[in-house]
Amino acid sequence: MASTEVTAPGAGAAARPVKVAAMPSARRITWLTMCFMTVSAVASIRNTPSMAVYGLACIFLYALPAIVFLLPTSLVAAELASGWDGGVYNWVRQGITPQAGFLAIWTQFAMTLTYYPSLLAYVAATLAYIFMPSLASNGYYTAVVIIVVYWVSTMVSMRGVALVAKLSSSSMLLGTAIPGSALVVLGVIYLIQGNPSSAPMNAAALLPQFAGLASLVLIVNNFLSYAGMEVNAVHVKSMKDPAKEFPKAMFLAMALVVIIFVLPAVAISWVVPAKELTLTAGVMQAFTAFFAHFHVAWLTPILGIMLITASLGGMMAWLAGPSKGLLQIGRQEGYLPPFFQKVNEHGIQVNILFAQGAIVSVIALLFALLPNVQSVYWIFSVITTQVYLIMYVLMFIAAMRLRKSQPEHPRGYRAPILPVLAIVGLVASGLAFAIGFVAPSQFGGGSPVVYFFMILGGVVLIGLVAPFVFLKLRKPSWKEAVPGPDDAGQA
Amino acid sequence: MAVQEKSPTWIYVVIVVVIVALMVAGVAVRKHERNNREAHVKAQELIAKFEAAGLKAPDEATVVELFGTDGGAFAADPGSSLLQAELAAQYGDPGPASRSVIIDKDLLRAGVIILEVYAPQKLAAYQEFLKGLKFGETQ
Repeated sequence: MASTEVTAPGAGAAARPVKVAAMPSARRITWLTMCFMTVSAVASIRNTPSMAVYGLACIFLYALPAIVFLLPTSLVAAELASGWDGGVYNWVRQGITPQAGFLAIWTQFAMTLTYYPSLLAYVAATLAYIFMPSLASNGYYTAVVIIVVYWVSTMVSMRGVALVAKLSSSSMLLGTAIPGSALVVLGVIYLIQGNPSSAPMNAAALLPQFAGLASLVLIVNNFLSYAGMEVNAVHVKSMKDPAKEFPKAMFLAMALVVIIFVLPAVAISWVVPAKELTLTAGVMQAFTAFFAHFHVAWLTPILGIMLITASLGGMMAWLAGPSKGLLQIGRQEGYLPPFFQKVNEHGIQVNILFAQGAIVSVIALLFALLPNVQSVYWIFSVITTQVYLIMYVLMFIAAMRLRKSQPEHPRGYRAPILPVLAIVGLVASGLAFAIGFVAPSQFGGGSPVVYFFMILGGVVLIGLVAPFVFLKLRKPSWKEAVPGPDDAGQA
Repeated sequence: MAVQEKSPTWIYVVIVVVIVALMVAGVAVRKHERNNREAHVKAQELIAKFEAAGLKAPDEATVVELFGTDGGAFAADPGSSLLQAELAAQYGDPGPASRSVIIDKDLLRAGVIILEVYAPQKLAAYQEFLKGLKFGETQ
C-alpha cells in the first residue's frame, strides 16, 4: 500500500510528520468475514461445560439475554453502521455530542485493558493443562505467556485490518465452529446409539430453578455473553457496501452466536450428567470427561489448542477495534495528542497500540506475579465491565436521537420498532449495571456497602475521571485536519 | 475466507505450523503411565467417596483419565491464588465484559473429595480458599 508523509496543519510547533497511508481499497472485508469476525469477538465454547450443568435450561439462560440484549444491540448497531461509518464513537458523536462519543469509545477501550490479561491467563492455563499441569500455578510462566502472546498478537495486528479480519474469522471457524459442531455431532451420536439423555429433556426442564439472588446474577450476567456485537462496526469502511452488507453480517452473527452458546452446552448435558460435570474440577477436565465417554480423550489437547486459537483470534478482533475508534475521534476532535494519532503504512494506530500494550503488560505482570493482585483481579474486571455498559447506554440513546435529529439520513437498514428495541436495550443494560453491584463469590462475607462503593469509585475513576482528563487537556492544535487512512468521508 | 487485500503468506504458514505442532505435541505428551494399577485403585476410592457423599461419580476409566495417580491438573497446586482465580472465574461468562457470578454451592465441593484421595497434604489450602467464598444456589 502506498503511503505518504504529511504534516498536520494547525499543529503548530508540536506538529510532526504523520505518516498517512493512501486510501485503501474499499473492498477488503466481505460481509461473511465481518460476520465471522464479530462471532469471534463475542462467542466461544470455552466455558460450555459450566453452562451444560443447567441442561435444557441453558437454552433459557441464553435465550432470554438474547432477546433483551443481543437483539437490541445487534439491530441498533446494524442500523447505525448502515448509515454512519466509524463505529460507536461516531454514532454517539452524531447522536449526542463529540464528548459523549469520546466517552463511548473510551469505555469500550478501557474494558479491554483488563480483558486481555485474564484472557491470556486462560491461554497460559490451558497450555499448562495440555503440556505440564504444574506450570499453571507458576506466575513467571504465566507472565511470560501473557507478555509474549500479547505482543506477538499486537505486532501481527499492526499489519493491517485485512490480516486481522482474516485471522480472527479463520480462528472462529477452527476454534469455535469446528469443535462446537464436533461436540454436537458426538452428542447426537450418543442419542442415536440408544443412550438416554443424561439431562431431562422435557418442557419442565426448560426453565432454570430460580433460587434467588444467585440465579438472578447468573441470568443477568449472561446478558454480557453477547457484549461486543458492535465492536467491528469501526471497520465498515473496509466493506464494499456496508449499508447492505453490515446488517447482513449482523443477522447471521446473531444466529451463530446463539447457536454456538446453546447447542454444544445441550450436547454435553446429554452425555455427561450435570452432577458429574460438577465433579470434574475444571472446564478442561469436563471436556475430557465428555470425550472419555467416546473413548477419544486424546482429543482433549487438540480441543485445547483450538480453544486457544479461538481466544487469540477473538483478542485480535478486539485489538483492532476500540483502539481504531479512539484514533478516529482523537484525530477528528483533537482529543488525543499528535503522538497517539500516528498511524503506520497499513493505517494502524501504532502508538495507541504500543501504549495499550505497555498498560496491559504492567497489569499482566502484576496479575501473574503478585498473589494479592490475583485475589482481587476480578474486581477490576467487574469495574471495567460496568464502565463498558455506559457505552451501551450511550449507543441506545444516540440511536433514538438520530432517528429524530437525522430522520432522512440514508440508512441501508432501519431496525423495526427501534425505540422499543433501544428502550429494552437500555433497561437490560441498566439491570446488568445494577447487578454488577452485587458481590460475587470471591468477595466472601465482606460488606455489601463497602463493595458497592468500591465498584462505584472504580467506575467514576475509570469511566468518568479518566476521559474527563483527556477532554480537559486537549488542545485545538491536536485537531487533525488531514484525514487518516479511514477517516475520509465521515458522515 | 474472502478478504480481498493481499496479506503476507508467511504469517499464515507460521500460524498453521505452530497450531499443528502444538496439537501433535499435545497428543504426544499425554501421560499414558497414568493408566496403571495405582490410578485404578485411587479411582475406585474416589468413586466410593463420591457415592458415600451422595454424588454421582464418573465411571472408573474417566476418573483414571482425569486424575491419574496424582490428581492431575487440579491437585497440582490448589493453594495457588493464580489457580484459584482461574477456578472461580470459569463459572462466569468467559468473553469480553466478563465478570464473576455467585458460584453454586455444589460446583467446588468435589475438589475436597478429590484432594482427600490424591493430595491430602494440599487439602487445607483448598479448604481455606473455599472458606473465603460466598456460595449460592442456581440449580
